Amino acid sequence: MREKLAKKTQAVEALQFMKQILERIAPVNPVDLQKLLNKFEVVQVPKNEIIINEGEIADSFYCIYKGIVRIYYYKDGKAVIERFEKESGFFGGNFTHLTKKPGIHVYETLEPSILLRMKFADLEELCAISHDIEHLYRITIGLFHNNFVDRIYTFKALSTEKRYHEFIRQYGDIINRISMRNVANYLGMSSETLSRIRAKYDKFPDDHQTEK
Amino acid sequence: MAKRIDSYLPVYQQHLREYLLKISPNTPLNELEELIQCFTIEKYAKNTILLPAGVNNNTVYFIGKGLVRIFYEKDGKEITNWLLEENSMFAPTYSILSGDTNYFTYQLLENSHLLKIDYAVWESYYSKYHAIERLGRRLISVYYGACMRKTVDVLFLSAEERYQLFVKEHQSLLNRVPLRHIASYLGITQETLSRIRAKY
Repeated sequence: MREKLAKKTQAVEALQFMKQILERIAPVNPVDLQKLLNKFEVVQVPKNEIIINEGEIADSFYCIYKGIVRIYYYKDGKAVIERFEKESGFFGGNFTHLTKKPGIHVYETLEPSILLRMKFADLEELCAISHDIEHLYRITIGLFHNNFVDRIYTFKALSTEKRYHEFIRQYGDIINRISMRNVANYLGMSSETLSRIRAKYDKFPDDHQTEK
Repeated sequence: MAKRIDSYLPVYQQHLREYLLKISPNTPLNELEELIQCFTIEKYAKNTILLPAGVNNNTVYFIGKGLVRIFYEKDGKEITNWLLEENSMFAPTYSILSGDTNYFTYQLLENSHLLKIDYAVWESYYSKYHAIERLGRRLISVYYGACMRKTVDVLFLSAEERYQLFVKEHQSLLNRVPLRHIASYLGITQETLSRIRAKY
């Protein structure tokens, strides 16, 4: 009984969290916002669980309430991490729901997580009836597009050391929750190189800000 | 005597109409028409730099006639990111949406006729009409999806496979675009491109 109540409270908190995230992106009138929140499902996912697998066409997108998700693909048999998503981060199969082509990415939890999930079909229906929700969706895609461009064109162009600083800037608050093996993979460097860079800079955390 | 540029406007407007309806088929025609009438037409000479890197002109373009090369500089070299031909839409999306620096240079590889609209005007139609906001949402989804697909192709297809895909999808560009730009677009050297082409 107590466990069910705890779960219910958690769901309420998760939806409140979602509401705040959406309000920060674009204004939606209260009636439509509630319709949108009603379509989110709160799901608990254990550690190391694959949420969307390679070869799948995602029918839903997710927002992380609690937890970290690792997003990677296989190249020549080896896993290459493209990015991490943490609390308030979104992921949704990289447009496989539009292209209808099997995805290449694997989305896997790094720790027990609580996710908010919505079907793309539900979002599409809500967009049809609400201009505010359509607007919110359009703005959100624009944000994701820009994050993508940042990742592809700026991050990749940085030197190994600068990439590390950028990583600390973006993910510094969760670095204790990600294994160094995963961090090295994401940064495209060996564990040895990463150790060396960390030894150099982590004595003086403020250097991550001044190095640019 | 050469035709006046204005005489081409109706034909390009029709192409723009068809392009936008393909992206979002249920757009009411009168709303679409209002938007299309806001575009103006301009002609440009071959090799014109439409928009240099570091500059954002907040303009959305539709190619009536011509060819656009979008590139960025890395370690002093020009890397061709996109090659766009007739009936394509483009804009410095990244800097329009973020207000940050535009990384890319937009260059015309041929004498071109472009339809253009100020982004502020274009955006005003998003708030005015739900269907146009939906069109805008679908447009950026398509655009973003194409960006992603390209990075996946570069990762997973061999140079030869990427060339074959290019030939399949952009046959007409082979005769119109200098080979060094095609090589750069495909992420291979000119030598590799020549070698692959010799096979075919």
